[in-house]
Amino acid sequence: MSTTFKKRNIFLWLLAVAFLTPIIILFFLSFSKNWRFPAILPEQFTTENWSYLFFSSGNIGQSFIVSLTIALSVACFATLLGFITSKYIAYHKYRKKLLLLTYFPFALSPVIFALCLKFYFIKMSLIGNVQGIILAQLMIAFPYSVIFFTGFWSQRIKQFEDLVATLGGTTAYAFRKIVMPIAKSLIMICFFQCFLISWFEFGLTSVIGYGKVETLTIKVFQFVTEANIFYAALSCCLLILPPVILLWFNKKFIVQTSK
Amino acid sequence: MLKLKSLVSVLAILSLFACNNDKKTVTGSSEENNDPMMQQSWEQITEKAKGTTVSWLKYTGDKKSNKYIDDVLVPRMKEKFGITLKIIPGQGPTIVSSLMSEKEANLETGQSDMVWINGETFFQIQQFQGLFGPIDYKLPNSVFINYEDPIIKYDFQQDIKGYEAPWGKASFIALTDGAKVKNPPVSMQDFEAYWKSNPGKFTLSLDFTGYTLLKTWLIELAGGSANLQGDFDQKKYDLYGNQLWDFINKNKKYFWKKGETFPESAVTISQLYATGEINFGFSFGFTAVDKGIKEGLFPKTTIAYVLKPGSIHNSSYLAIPYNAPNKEGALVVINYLISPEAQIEKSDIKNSGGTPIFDVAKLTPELKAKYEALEKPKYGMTEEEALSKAIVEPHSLYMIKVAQDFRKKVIEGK
Amino acid sequence: MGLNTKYAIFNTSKINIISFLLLLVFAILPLILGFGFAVSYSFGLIGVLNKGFTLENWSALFENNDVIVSFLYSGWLAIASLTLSVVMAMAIAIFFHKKFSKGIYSYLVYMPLAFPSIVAAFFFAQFLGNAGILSRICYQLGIIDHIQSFPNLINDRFSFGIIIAQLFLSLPFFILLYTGLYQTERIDDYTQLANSLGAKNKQSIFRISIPILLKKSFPNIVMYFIFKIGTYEVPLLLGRSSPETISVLAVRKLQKFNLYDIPQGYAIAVIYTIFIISLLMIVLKINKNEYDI
Repeated sequence: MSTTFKKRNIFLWLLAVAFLTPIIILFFLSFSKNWRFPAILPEQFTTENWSYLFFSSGNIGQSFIVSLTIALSVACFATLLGFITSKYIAYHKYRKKLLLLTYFPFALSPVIFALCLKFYFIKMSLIGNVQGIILAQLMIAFPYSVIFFTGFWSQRIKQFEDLVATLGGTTAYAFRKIVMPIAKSLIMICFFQCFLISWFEFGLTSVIGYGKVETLTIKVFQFVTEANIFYAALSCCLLILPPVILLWFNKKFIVQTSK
Repeated sequence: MLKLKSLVSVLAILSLFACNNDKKTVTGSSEENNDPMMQQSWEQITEKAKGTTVSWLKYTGDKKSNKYIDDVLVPRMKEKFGITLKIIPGQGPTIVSSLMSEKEANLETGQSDMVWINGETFFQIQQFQGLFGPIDYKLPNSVFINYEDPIIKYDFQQDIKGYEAPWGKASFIALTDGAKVKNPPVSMQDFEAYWKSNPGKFTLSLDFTGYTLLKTWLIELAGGSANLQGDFDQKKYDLYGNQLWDFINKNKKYFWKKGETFPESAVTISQLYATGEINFGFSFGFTAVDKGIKEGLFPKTTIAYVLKPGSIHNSSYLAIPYNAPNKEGALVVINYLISPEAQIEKSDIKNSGGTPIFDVAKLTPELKAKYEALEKPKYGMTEEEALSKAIVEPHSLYMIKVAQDFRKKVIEGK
Repeated sequence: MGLNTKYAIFNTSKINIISFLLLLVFAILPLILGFGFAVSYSFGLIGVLNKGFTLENWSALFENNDVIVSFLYSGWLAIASLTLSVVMAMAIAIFFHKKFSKGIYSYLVYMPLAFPSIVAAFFFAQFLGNAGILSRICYQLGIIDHIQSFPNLINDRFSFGIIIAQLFLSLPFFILLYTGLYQTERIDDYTQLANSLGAKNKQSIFRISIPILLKKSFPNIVMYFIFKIGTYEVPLLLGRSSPETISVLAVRKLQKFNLYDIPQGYAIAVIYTIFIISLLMIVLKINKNEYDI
């Protein structure tokens, strides 16, 4: 028993290390200065990077707020609208075909999709501003939400609703007393999933945002291109933070964001 | 010395060419801008610019220069002119494609008010009339600039016609660690010999810096820059281009990572050089070495030098897109940026470094003194040294072709 | 809001119209418009530098096999990282499903899910690069004596860096999927039954656990494959100059250096869209149970 058991433990340990080190290293880098090969630790640990980016003209706090605003709006709209539309699809006679249509925008590479749509966004003056990015990201998050909820509107829910109707209850009553309690936790999950889709988005945002809307992912890329690894690491930390906080509250919130 | 001679003769030919135009204004442009906006007086323009935002689309690859812009220039624009200057990061090619998309969508009010461009970017934007102009004659600080200076008048062999205002002059130099590389390779043969005895220590970037190195070699193969003067010549390009690709393909196995991949930008090259992975870097500006050493990035033994055909000189410019929503604001900012005061500050190694665009002869004695008091580069080379080996940029199409063929014939190996 | 207004909002016919409109605006219309734009641009029908209908861009695109190579490369990367993820995640589900259902590991496994692709790409560039952390550790331990003796792990010939980064991003997803399936499909019960009937451990793993898990997860695997084909950030930062993945190639043609390459870029977008849509249609057709996210 013992040798295989140990081997297994080593494997698990390695996995734990692999999952944890990136966060720790990024955090350390964000406090570092002068980190020259072949030193493992930087010459200096400092809070300079943080104070410069937050309090001088670094504007990273602003980026954080911009990202947050976009992600919360996308999550709200996508969840709400997706919940409504999914019911329509779920009980539609062409359910399969409609669902297929919703999969398309969701499955395409966001950056390619955005480049094909850029023209229309320019036409509608939706380029280089937050509204444009919210709309563009909704084109990924909304289909996600629709697909997510379509499974929810099962035959069982319909039967409950019908039952309430036969017993003389209104649709609103059925919605409040039957549908909502069952859907509540799913709505929460979908909300956070959509939040993360938006929070993590880079390719589409870079095209539609024109570089003018500086979300955190855009900032990371910018710092990487100017070889500013400490600032990039700092922005990475800010990007990782909200998902980790969500994780603290509920593991389910951050499951399976495949994009 | 021969280089200098050929340069002088080229300059003479170019200025002769320029003098043919007798209708020209101070800025070398023959036409004035009929746009009603340009009929306003400079005072009206400054007044109108107050309280507005100017979006400046520019390449932001230089950390130090970014910091200077963020920490000094942005607050100053606010304080001096009441203008909120907003930097939008974008590389040359992105600037071109963004403007073109706006043109295609017939967008009346664009996303940016001013752009930092030169060479092939200017050439490509002009293909679809993407710029507002001419503007130079309207800028009061144009008086300090000699628009007949061929390095300003011609942007990669193309007459700027007042559509761009110069912002900085650059000279292409190579840099290496003098402690490691005793006799820096100058000619292509030197490089070949060096690569063979020191494999893995050289690479070039897939951006304007790397392509400028390729153009320098193209000039070397053509036997000097005079041979590639004027419009793009497909025959010449095919001849020397093929020699160049043969030369690189024959040797790329001695490059960094065996020449199987190339860094995307000069920034990465500097980093590779800093960590000692490669021994050569390339830069625009004789001050680059001092800047790198000051930043603590480069070893103190770094030296700058010029390759055999000479140092390609060019200017980079500020221009206004055809659909800029705030043209007044952009004019005010551009006028400030080309002012001697701003140019001297920018040339400071502590900030961006590089060569200012004003004509020293046109400066007031005070400004001249201020300029001469600037800290001189200690490690790199002097301005005079770089200038003495100056050669002019070939036509933009050489850059575009070189970029395309380097990918096709070297990276993809077809 | 009173009951009445609520009732009105949830009036079925109205809500159906709204739903349909939403679907149209956010899902169907963008696809049609975007695709139409790409098609017209690639044939020279629109665009300031285009001069009317032409097949030139398409023939130029197929003068060399860049696009085909790019598709094969994207596909290969997706398959490589997916295979690793699936195999590792299955092994974990089979051997350690208890550890991952609660306790510290059930939290740790979520960590990579907090990483956007661009952050993962940046981290692995810092970790695996020649001047990266791993290289420094090797140097300090005396394994390498020079920065160059460290093997190329990013921007490398075998796309090691990209595959590792993709593995990091997708492994947790598959671990969660398989540990979940392990329980819901009651694989423990089946294996115990098989073992009591005389099956060896190995047999029950290869004959029962793996087939069930694979079958149940097949739609997820294919969806993941579709996503990974279009991946952009990771190969952008960790890939070589050539070959490029489809997204990187398309973006380069559309936004880099030569304006006359733009129609070709749109042609690539057209091919890519057709490819993904056909793949999706086949998958959803074969798989009668829809893929639930």
